[in-house]
Amino acid sequence: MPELATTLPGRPAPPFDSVGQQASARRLGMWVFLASETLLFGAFFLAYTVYRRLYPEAWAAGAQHDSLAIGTALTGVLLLSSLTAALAVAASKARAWRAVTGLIAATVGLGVFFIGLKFYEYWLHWQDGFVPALHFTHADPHLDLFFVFYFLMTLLHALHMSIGIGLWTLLGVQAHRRRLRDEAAVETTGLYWHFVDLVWLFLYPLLYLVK
Amino acid sequence: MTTTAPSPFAPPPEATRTTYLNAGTGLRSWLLTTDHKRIAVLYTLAITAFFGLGGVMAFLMRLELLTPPSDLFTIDTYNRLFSAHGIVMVWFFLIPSIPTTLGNFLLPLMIGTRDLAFPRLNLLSFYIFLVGGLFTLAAVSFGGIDTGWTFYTPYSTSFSQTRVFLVVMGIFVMGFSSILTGLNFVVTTHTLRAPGMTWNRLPLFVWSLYATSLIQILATPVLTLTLVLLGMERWFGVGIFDPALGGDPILFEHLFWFYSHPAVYIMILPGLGVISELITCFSRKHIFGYNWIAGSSLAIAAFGFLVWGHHMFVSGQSVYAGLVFSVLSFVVAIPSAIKVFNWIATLYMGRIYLRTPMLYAFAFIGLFVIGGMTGLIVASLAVDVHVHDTYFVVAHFHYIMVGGMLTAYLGGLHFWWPKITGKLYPEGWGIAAAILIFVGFNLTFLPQFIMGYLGMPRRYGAYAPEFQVYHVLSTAGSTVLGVAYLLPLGYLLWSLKYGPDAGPNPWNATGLEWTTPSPPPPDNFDEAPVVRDMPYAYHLEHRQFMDPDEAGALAAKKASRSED
Amino acid sequence: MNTLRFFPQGASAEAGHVDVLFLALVAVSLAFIGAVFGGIVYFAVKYRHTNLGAERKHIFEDRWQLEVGLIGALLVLSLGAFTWAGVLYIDIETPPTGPTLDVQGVAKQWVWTFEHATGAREINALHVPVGQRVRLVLTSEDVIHSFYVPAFRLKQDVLPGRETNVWFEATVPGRYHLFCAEYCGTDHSAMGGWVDVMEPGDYARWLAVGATGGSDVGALGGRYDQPTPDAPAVALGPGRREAPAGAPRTEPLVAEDASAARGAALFASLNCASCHRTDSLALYPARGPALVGVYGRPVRLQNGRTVLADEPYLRESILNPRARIVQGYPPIMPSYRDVLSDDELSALVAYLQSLGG
Repeated sequence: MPELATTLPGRPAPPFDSVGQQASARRLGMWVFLASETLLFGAFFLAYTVYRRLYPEAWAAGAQHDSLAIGTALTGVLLLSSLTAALAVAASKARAWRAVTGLIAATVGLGVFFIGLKFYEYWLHWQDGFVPALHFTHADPHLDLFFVFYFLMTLLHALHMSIGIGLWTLLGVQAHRRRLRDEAAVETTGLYWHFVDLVWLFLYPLLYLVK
Repeated sequence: MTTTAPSPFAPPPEATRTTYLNAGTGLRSWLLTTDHKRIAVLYTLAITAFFGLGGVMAFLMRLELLTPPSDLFTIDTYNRLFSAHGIVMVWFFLIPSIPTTLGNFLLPLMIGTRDLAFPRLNLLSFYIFLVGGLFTLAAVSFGGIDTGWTFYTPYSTSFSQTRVFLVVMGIFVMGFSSILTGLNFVVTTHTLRAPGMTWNRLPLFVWSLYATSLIQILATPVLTLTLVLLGMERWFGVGIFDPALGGDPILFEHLFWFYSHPAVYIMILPGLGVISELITCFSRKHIFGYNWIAGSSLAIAAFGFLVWGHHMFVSGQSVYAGLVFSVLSFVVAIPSAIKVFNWIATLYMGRIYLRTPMLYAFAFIGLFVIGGMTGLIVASLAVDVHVHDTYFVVAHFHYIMVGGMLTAYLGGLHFWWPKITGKLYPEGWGIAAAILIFVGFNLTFLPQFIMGYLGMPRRYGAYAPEFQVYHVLSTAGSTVLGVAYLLPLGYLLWSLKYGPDAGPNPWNATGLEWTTPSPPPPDNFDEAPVVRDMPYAYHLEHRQFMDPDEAGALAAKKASRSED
Repeated sequence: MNTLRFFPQGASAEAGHVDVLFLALVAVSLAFIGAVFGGIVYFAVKYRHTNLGAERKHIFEDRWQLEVGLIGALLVLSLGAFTWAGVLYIDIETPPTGPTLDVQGVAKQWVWTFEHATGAREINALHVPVGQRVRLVLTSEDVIHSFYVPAFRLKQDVLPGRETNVWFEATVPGRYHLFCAEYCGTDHSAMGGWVDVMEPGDYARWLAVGATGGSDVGALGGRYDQPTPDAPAVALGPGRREAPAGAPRTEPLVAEDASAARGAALFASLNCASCHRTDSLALYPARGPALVGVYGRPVRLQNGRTVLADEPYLRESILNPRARIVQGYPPIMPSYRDVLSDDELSALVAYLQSLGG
């Protein structure tokens, strides 16, 4: 996780000797963290695959109950936010702080829109009685299992999105005040954001498109 | 006797030096510290408490097993005891033990930097660990858990009427601590090495920590997921692992062991690193096969991910899967054998000092080899069909975990005790405790091999009378072992107040951690260190003598020889 | 039985092969362990720092030839051991080609039940003829158990929801331990009994007389006391399931009258509590409906209807559980039609009534 700096620009936080060393440590820390995350989601995908092989009909039926339109819209929104995030990183390297602020704001806006839309979809599932354990009104236990995976995976993803939105918001406020203490933080947060987007690019076909 | 060797027993130059211990006083300065050395001390206190707790449970179990029927406790109590013993020892002692204590303390010192890369993250890891531990302790206190540390489904999800959910939560939380510590170590090793500290000059303990961290980072998330799924099934009754609900219990075993087998290497790899340090120091000789020892740590970490299925030879997985996991299990033993070979080759033509840490190192190698060889017996498919889930397996993994890891921990603790506390422990007591531990350990666990092959299943609170003689022997051994473990606790605490001052380098050892005063200053080094030597340059003339008395004796002997 | 043993009896065709392999592995292990201990002691003495005469021309350079040679030698040894063990494993796991004597086995917390082709059933005991290939078809009704007969060097996990086969051929008549080797809950240590290997003639006679040579399924520890051969402890006829008297540790709530008290004892001895909660921990999901206060209350069924949990319904649910399933629970309860006498059934219902309602 990137630690947001508490020192003045140009002065590395202890125990680092230089800003460059600190930046490379944070970048590496994020990559290592993402490696760990990959195994977390990977294990999820594995379990998903095992049960999809066991109950292909329930899985196909489950995906039918997801709104393809919403899923596609979510994907589009997220891809767009990845673009704005990438541009924000590029702008921070060019020290174009106005652009950085605007692009981060756009990323946050798209992220919030994603979460909102996702929860709207959850609300639709609730109305249709597809929420396992809390409000599940259908007889097929395997369909129940599909929705267990659906909710666990999308909620875990949404949790990651929320953390990302929080990080962007902090950086955005700093950039707006021209007091961005740690340029590497934009880059590492960008890395994280792209990873979370990438996870969705797997979730989208697995949860919305399976037949 | 004018020697150029720095006298290791010289009193410290000034009495009121600022050390990490006196840099701040009050509880707050400890509980909110970001100093890796203080965090290491906090961890040491925590894991010692957990070890004591797990040890008491083990001893109560051994008492129960003195007689065949379950007479001392009810069978439910026994089941809770062995479950809690396993859970506390695995997750709250063995996995954190060496990395979070010795590793936390020494990693920055050994590579010559001020702290870990993310000091506040380090403190956060500690508190996550503590919260996880307290969760688990609460669950154990209020009702306990009776699933064993393996939580096999569907027993744990649909049948057990104990506090499964709370315990699983505790371990779930603790997992994040493990991941973050691993991340911190990897980044520190990559980015904060002192000038001249190249990868092939890295102390072998650092290499082993690095390999351990990789496993922690990559294996723990799978456990996290597995526990989430287990919790979902338990709370909401959704069929993930229980076949009555449409789930697959074998999938749980796969996911669980995908973490828990590599976790075995999380436990033992740091111990292997410690032994490399001890052997070379007390042989006064460059370590033999540095590259091979360092590489074997990475090889163990890599291969360790591929052998989880050897826990499932009789589970009903396919014969072909069993064959593949078996052959890989043989392969993963080879890097360990390489280490043992190189340690013994280091002894050859060395100048061996039988100090307490060295005795622990010898005990470690012996017990580790017994544990390793019996591990290969267990990996042999047809034999495993018989010995799986018997005391043979129990004895095997205790040889690795207790005989190996715990012995290495104690060896390392004695070796670096002067560095950590600035005090010397009493050598005579140290040697006595080391020998007693070795004897008590073997008396406890050797009989378990025999009764395991005889067919004594594990996790039995009541057993057939023909096994009693071995259980009695084992309980007798555990009594010796229990007393032996109390000894270091006593004399190490004693030395804090009454031990002689250690000086910066009582062993006259190489390594950056010995170039700074003991206990180290808050920033570790008064001057930023620069590395110019290869590691373990014990062959240099001024490294040869351990203490002035010995140098004098040697000089006298030389003199008398020249007179002949 | 109580003589001191260092090595287990072997009573199956595979046991001897497994033992030879094991002893060979032990010999190799001892050689390695001896070499390591010997090396340490020898070097520690020879190069002890006080031994100033020892030659120490320090060798600093590593020898990769040594390491590679060692890896090669270990690989060869390992692959040899692996192959030996693997071939034997395949042999154990491969179905035999000839005809087999089939026995169905069901594991349930904490009882083994075996049913022979003739319909003869036995609990915590398995009678097989010597010299004949036996196929066990095993399944579990609840959690994972493991069928383990040390004398046969045979172990196989028994999973709920699927059938698992094992094969063995007993070679020596006698009585051998049967254990459960996979932890399965409270009375895991007591889940087991004896495998009786008989001469074919004796086995045929045993089957014919309706399997009278049962085994002691007494309390914990007690079950390990071998019953005298000519005094069968429990008579088990085909189709008749004797409830194990092993005492589970679930505390029944207060039973008001004698009948209810007897019902409570039955409830405990039949391990009903492994599925039905009778305490207030109803927060945790259980396998079957909780029974506190159920008597006289309306119960919602799987088919959406509601039924009053009166005496006829409770009786029916015990004798024919699948007739009217409570909503939210899988239909997994076995029938106790042949297990309980009418008297015992009344006692159980009285006990349920005493649980409040």
